[in-house]
Amino acid sequence: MSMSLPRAGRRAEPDSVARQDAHRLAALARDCGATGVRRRCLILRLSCLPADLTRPHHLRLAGEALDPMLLADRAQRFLLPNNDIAVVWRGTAEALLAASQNAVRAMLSDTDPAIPGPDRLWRVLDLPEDADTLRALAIASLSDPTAAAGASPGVPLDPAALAALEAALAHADVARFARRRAVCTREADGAFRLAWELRTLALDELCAELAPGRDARAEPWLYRRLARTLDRRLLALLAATGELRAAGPFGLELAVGSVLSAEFLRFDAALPHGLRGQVTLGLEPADMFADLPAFVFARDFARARGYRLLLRAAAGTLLPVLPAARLGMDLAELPWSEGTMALPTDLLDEAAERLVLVGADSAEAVAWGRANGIRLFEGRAAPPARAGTGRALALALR
Amino acid sequence: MTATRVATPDPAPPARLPDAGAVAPGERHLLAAMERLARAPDGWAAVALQLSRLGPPGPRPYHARVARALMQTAAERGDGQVFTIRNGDLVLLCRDSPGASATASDALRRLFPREGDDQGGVVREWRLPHGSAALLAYAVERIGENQGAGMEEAPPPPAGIVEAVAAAVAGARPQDLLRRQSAALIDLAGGGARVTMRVLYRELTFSLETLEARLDAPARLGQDTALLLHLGRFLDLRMLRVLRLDAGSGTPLDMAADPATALHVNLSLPGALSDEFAALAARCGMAGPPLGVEVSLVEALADPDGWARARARLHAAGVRLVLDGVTHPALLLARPAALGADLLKLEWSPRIAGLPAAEQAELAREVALADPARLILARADSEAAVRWGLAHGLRRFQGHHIDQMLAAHRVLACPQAIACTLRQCTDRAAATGPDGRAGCANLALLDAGMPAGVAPPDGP
Repeated sequence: MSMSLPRAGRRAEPDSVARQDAHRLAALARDCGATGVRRRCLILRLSCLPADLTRPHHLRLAGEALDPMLLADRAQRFLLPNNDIAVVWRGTAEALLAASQNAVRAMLSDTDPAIPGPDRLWRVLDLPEDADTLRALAIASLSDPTAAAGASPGVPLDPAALAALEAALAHADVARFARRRAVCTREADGAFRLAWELRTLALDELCAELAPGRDARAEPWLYRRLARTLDRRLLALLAATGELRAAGPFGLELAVGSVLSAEFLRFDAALPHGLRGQVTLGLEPADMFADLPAFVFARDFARARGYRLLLRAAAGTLLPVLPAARLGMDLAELPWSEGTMALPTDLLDEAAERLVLVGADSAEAVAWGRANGIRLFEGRAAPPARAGTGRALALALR
Repeated sequence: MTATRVATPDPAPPARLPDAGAVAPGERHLLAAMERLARAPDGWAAVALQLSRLGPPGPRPYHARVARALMQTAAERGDGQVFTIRNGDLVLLCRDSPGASATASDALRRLFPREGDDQGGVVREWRLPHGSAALLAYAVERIGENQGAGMEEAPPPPAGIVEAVAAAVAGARPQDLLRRQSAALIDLAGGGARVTMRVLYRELTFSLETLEARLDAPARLGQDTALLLHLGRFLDLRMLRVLRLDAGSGTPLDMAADPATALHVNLSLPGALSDEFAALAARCGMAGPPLGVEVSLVEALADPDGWARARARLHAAGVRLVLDGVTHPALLLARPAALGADLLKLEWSPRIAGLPAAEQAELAREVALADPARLILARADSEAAVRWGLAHGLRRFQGHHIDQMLAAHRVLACPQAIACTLRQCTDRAAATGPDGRAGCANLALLDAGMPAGVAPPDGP
């Protein structure tokens, strides 16, 4: 059975449809693995392309490049949340496969040689042997950051636009952009209990209003500078009278310089007594190592004031490079991705007690985390069963 | 103000105070408070945080800000006050009940654990009235110093400055902004009886100092790592383009002129993954020198996936990857060798020699774990640096001391050197533009790497 050909790019698809596709593909892979039915799958890894090559018309062209495959026996197309496209079919379809591959080559023939070439962009899997790989790819697409990047990436922020945005931020009411995300402990009974709430400002929404058409994340170092400005605004917001009166344990993601700022000191002075020891400060590795004496001073100061410290965004490949205990950090974030499952278990055995699995949007991620001794989770697959207390955090960190 | 004497059982004679007009406000207020306290000093205490004694690079504004906040908390608990002395020191004067001053001094000692060890630490504490005379002596000493703190905090440079700097770079000859520096291998043959030295590679970098000097107003980009690293992406492409275009030109940037000496370029990750670099690598592969790329630890940590991509691509192309900017605290806190670079650049700092014995031993362990054969001691600006490196098994060095050793060799070997100083020869070797090299009558020797097996004139 062939599906009708979509003429719009992936971004135009409703997110829920893409997520359903990812779940359907994962289920198909699981069933193939269980029943031994032979199928083949072509995955076009558009998530590997830079943002300026995944605009709607690029995605439409890529979709059309795979059209020949839909003539194969029982072909099904899956448009995944991270822009990847998968086609699954039965039987032999070598000529159709070659036609699709030629079309992809033609599509990329005049692009930057630095980007992944056609041979790295597609992958052909044989089921049931590759069922686990296909399932992992489908599930990983649910937590791929490109899936949440929004419909239009916009023009990258440049220094002049950043200066204008910083000026606009000085007078903007940021309170309405304040957001919370739950970090939960998975209890022995399988329920998730709130350990703390991560308090952030919704950067994408804020930029959409103050710098429409700009992509604040496209230039990573300018984004970091903007984040510092946002830190100060968030801290000022939290230090306002009564803001934290009824607050439970919470976390903040801050730059090292922000922890040493006057705004943080005002926030610290305003922190209710009952919350002392209940606040987690997340620091980013590159920011820490950009000024290590400042980091060490900020770390020791934060400890003296009873804050818990979390190493942010410690991608799996960084676990052996940045041992949290050696850095004096209480916890470390491990972002969930396709590659997380390949991490050496001895590395995880050592670090699991301190890890927070972030981006745990699938049952697969939670199951993997549990199997590897991780107790703290952040993500859609780890919703809090009920409001927690400081005890949940204490238990998690014990 | 008249001379003040705090009531004290201490028989020490009172310190003499200068006129009130000559005393800075912080000291004046402290002395006034001590005078008031002289009538009933029991149960009071003072804590001084001597930020003026902090070792290099000295106190930074956040030290004072955070310490003052901690001391202010104690002051509020103990009906006291915090005084800022002109030299940057902070003095807390408060009731010692319920342990306010002791809590503050403990917290400060934890924040400044090793600072000022050679002078008894940076935190001093006095219980009154017993310590009144010593506190007064401290205050008088500060007044006599007449030394400013120099800790004013400048606002961060505006984001728009990046565009101004980029425009200045675009309008300048890159040769006037690019600097080259050699890294050398020092070999100790026969247990150190014979020292040999050879150039391993030459590294090209943009000189921020030269660039800043050409601007109408200082950009202060060094105060904002994020802006500096963002600018780096633009500078990378500029440097790579110049290298590609200068190939075969016979200039110091002509990589084909000395195919025997490896060329290292200091790049961001996007620079290392760029078309421009791929084009340069292709040219070097055909007729140029062996190529190396140096990427900073901060860049690698900011984008571990990009680092992994760059490492795989460079290794596949036969290009050596060096992890730059590994400081000794980084080696003590992390395991940068696990990033899988071919070589790591450990930055020498004179503070290494002053580390406590336990940290010295820990650093030695980490150097051994990282493998001294994979380490380059960068910023080896002194003989002490080279000696430390050799003692720890390192053989690769880069820094001003190495530049001088190489220059000394050239001066000895050069028939035209009679008109040159060692400093001139060092500076000319670092320059890549005609202005910086003007005055050298033996450019061939200036551009030549030191032949293998030549003993350095002042080797360690």
